[in-house]
Amino acid sequence: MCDDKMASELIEENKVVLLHVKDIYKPIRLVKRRKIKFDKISFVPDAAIGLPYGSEFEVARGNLILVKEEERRGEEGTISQLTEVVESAKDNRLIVDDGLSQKLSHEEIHQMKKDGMSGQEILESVVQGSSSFKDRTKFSQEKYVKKKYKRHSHVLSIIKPTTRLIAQYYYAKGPSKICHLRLDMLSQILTLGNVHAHSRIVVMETCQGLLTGAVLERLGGCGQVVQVFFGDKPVRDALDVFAHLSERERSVLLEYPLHRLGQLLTGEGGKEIELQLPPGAPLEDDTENNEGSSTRGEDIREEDDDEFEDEEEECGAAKKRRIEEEPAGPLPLAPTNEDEEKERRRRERELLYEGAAAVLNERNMDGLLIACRFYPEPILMSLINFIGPSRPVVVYSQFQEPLVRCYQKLKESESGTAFNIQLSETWLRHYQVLSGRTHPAVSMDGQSGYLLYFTTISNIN
Amino acid sequence: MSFLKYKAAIEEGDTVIICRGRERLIPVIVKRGGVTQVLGGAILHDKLIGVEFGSKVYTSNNKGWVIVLHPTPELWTLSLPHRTQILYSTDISMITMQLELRPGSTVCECGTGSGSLSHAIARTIAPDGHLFTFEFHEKRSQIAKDEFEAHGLSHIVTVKCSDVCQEGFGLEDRVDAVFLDLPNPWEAISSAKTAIKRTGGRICSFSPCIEQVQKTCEELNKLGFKDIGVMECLLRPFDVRPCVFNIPNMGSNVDHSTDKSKSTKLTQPIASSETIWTCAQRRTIPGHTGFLTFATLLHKDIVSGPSTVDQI
Ligand SMILES: C[S@@+](CC[C@H](N)C(=O)[O-])C[C@H]1O[C@@H](n2cnc3c(N)ncnc32)[C@H](O)[C@@H]1O
Repeated sequence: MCDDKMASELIEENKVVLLHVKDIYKPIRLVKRRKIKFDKISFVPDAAIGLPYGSEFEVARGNLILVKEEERRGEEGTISQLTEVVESAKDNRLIVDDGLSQKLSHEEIHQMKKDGMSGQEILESVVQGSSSFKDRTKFSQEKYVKKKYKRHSHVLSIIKPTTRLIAQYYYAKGPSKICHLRLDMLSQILTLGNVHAHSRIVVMETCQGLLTGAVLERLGGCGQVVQVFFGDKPVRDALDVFAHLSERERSVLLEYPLHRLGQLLTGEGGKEIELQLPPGAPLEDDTENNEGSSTRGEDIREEDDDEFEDEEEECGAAKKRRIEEEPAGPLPLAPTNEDEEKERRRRERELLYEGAAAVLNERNMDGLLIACRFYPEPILMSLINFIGPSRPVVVYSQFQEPLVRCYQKLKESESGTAFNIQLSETWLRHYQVLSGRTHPAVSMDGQSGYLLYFTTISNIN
Repeated sequence: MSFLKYKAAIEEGDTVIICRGRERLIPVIVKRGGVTQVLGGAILHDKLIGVEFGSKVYTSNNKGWVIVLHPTPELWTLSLPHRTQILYSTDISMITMQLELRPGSTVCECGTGSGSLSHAIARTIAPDGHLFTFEFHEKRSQIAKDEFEAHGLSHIVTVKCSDVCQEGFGLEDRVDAVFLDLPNPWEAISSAKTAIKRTGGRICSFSPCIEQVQKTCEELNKLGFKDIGVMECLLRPFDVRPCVFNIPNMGSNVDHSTDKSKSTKLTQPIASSETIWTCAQRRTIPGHTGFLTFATLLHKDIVSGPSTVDQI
């Protein structure tokens, strides 16, 4: 047995879970009696604890109310329920979109929400308040309810995090923070990298730890991951959201700083470069100063979803930062104490790096995965030295050109360590499947990014 | 030999993948005295034994060569003998991710076909997960079974020869995920639901035709599956190579080449040239493999009403 996982399928207190409303996922730590604000609604999660993951709730008067199967209508159910009882027109000839057909004002609807009315109740009032509803065709009625359902329904479910959902959450929230790494590309990195229990993988990523977490999940507590990182410590905020990973599964993770690779490659022990970190600007914070790459004239960073900022406190980065700010023990009395603490931490870190260096130094790792915002070629050409022969290497980039450079470099390199180099992108298309109305989704995500992959071979010649 | 753990050198009885450049990959079972013919000549198996994976090995006449690679499910997918249509790594990646497979998962699959997907699943759920794979074609089922044995996967895979649409999976509350790749997947969904663990799970159906998808979605919906999503994932490969572009003579004083040493006399029609590594699309690529339909079965206590609901 690799691990004692598959633990609980019931919602537990103090665990990070994913709240799911409409198409949005949101990681959150559930604490009894602590209010959660999400998508303009707020509630305490107490009623959910102990119920199975996947349970659906309505929010009413600040509490979660379990939606029972008999009442579980979901979107489709609500639509048919609200459209079946009224007449409908054959076509849309009577519809004028003047915004006057709704008798309820925004303020009135807002008040209903404030009063804690359930989404279902509000939706019913909104449909009744629409004077033109019965003049619409059945199809347009459905569309109308669907739109309103999206706006007023408060049905949310609580889901156990998995790589699939976590990746979707990060991609929806701010793709630029994870190098635009889409789910299909992430899945290919793991497959083409032959990541599985007992493999020893080198990872270099600037995707908030998303790739590292996904690799840890696929190792199941057996094998080794060496995360090579930029700056003074690896960014792994996403690992907090991988709440389903056990201690054992996390324990296979080692780390090694990029700026010390030179030492390993030249075999000069001890000679260490101290990076000059600009004061006040932590290097790992790629959202603030995008050091890896930037696009002139166009800001490749995207707007954060401010709506959710307050819950951000409850899990992930913010929480960790808070913990770090508050020293665990009693407050240091004198600066010497602080220095000692610093020194102790430094020694601990050295030990950690030594462990990682020993693993890398065997130069027989089972795979290399790169997904970062830096120019990948020198990173690839350095890290490839630690990979054994006949092993997969996968490099992801949001851009094609840097990967072409990698390709060129590999082809031109004397030792010829790469076999069957491939460069590709993927095309991911979603479909609407409805009786008589099946077609590809009208808009599709056209940016998969690019993947370069090959198998290492022994130095030939 | 095991697909699950890399080893350094080739031993007798191992399955190795041999290849040259972009030519087809060939799986070879190494036997003493064995010979494999490749384009450049004959590869003597005796020469392979003891060689490190990832090395170059020359043909008996020393004219040709091949690289010998350690097998992985991905290389196997590219080299396996086709008994049916098979799934390739792009779809396999999406399936693995969407079914949330990881070490320890239990999965059921129908049909086994040529075992392309089965190998990838077994790799991901090892060392303590289990794959139940069903195939009603007796010969295919047997060959797949032999292959799993030879590839060190038989402790993870159970091969069953039966008609899943008629007899079902015969499993109850056992698996985390179900995968269907058969002509009429909707007939297997009810049995899939029974097979899925009480705590819920994921299902995927792969179908080339949209009519199959339509029927499958209807059935999934009817049986209470949630989050039904249909998608298509296609690989678009590029050809990367250095390309020489000529720069025409545009009259005196106009020299656009960056490499001045290459520019010639300004009376010639072609003034100079520029070499750039280019990335070309291919004229013909697979334009459709199949539609992937995914859905979630929630905890069975939620789906069929039940015990814990009274707690509130
Ligand atoms: C397209 S192949 C599967 C290929 C496989 N996914 C792979 O990657 O190699 C479909 C297989 O399903 C089998 N099959 C079809 N209907 C079946 C049924 N009702 N029960 C069991 N096997 C079935 C067929 O014999 C065929 O071998």
